[in-house]
Amino acid sequence: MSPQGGSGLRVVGPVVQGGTITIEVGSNDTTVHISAGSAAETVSHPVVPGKANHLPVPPVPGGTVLWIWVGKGLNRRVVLVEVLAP
Amino acid sequence: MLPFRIVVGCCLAGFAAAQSVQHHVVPASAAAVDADSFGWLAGASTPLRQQHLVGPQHLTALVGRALTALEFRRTAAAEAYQGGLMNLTVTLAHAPHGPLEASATFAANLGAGGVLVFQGDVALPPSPATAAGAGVAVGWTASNVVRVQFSTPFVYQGGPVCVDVVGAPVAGQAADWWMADAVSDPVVGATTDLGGGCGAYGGAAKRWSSVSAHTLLPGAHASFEAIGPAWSLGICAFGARAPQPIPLALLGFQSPASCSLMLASVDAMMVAPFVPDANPALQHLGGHAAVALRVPNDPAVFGATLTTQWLEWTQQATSNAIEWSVANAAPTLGMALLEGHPQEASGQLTVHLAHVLRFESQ
Repeated sequence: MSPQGGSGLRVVGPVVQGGTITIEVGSNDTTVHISAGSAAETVSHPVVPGKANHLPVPPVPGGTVLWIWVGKGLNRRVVLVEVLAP
Repeated sequence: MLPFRIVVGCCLAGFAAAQSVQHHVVPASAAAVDADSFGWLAGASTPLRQQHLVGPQHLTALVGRALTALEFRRTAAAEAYQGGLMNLTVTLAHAPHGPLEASATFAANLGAGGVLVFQGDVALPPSPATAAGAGVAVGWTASNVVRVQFSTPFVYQGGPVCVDVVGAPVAGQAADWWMADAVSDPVVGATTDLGGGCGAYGGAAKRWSSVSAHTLLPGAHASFEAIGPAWSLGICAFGARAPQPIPLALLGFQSPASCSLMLASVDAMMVAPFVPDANPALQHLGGHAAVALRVPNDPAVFGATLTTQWLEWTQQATSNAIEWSVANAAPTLGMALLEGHPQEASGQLTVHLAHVLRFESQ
């Protein structure tokens, strides 16, 4: 499966319910945010020095679109990925 | 005639040495092998400004020499990179301060004596996959390297150097994912999430505030962030950890029962608005508040511990509290990296992470 996103932020591999999501961050941002569609469901994680972050997929139904973002202002990068049912 | 010949020979040898091309990698540990991280390049995929501050301990071999080119090497990865073309403006300067005194404002790190060493298009070469992982040998070959040949040399006179790169992709020739080698510092601070969050944000655990342990370093800008209602006001409080949670309602707030103050004292407060993204399509992500504390590069703060908790005004809700400690030592990387959009005066500063750079000099 080709990575989703690019331009400094991407998701590698499928995103499956109950699994792990791999987020690669090319920028020097220190926090990556994962939102299950609304601000209320946004959770933040520190970016590891190696830049490939293996994080738990949020507990959402299959078909939910996750908004993943880093940065702020004009330098914000966003990637959308769909959570797949196992 | 013999002494004359010896003198002439020595002069020629000296001249040749002064003119010889040398390459110098910063940091030296990554001269031949892949370092432990990676980073994007200004202009490869999007408009970006990147500024490196390099400490003089990395540059002693270059004192008195003319820097004539700058190179970035790809990171080791089992992935071929597509090529591209970007337009760069590169300025070098003797910086007014070292990496651990770096500013988050671009102009402050350049000082007054910057030299425009290059302006024009630079190619990102198509690059075949390599063996993957830190420590793998990666050569400084044409297909692995982005090279900026200076049109104006920069004579290095000692002290810290600022390398300022402003870039944008040439239309239709962006390289979506071309990652350069980068190195991180093992020194790190510490964080412990104490809970206490409430309100409508942060998912089930109500974790709507965060701080990265990699910003809790002497010389860094510790970055405290929170997510909440757009354009609401956040109060970021710093103090000592409370021995037990204090219900916020007990203090007269009209707050949900689950809201707890986790601070025994408040030593400082900073106020920040929850700013939504300017792009209307992203405004449902709410507002993003951030405050930064400059951590002095002073042994007096090594290991210092505080607790931080946010209060969001419209809900009168507390965030999860985070107890944090500054690292017990200063970073040894000797470099800083500031990244931001070219239209913005300031950006994201890190002193634990920087690209691997190679200078060519004569």
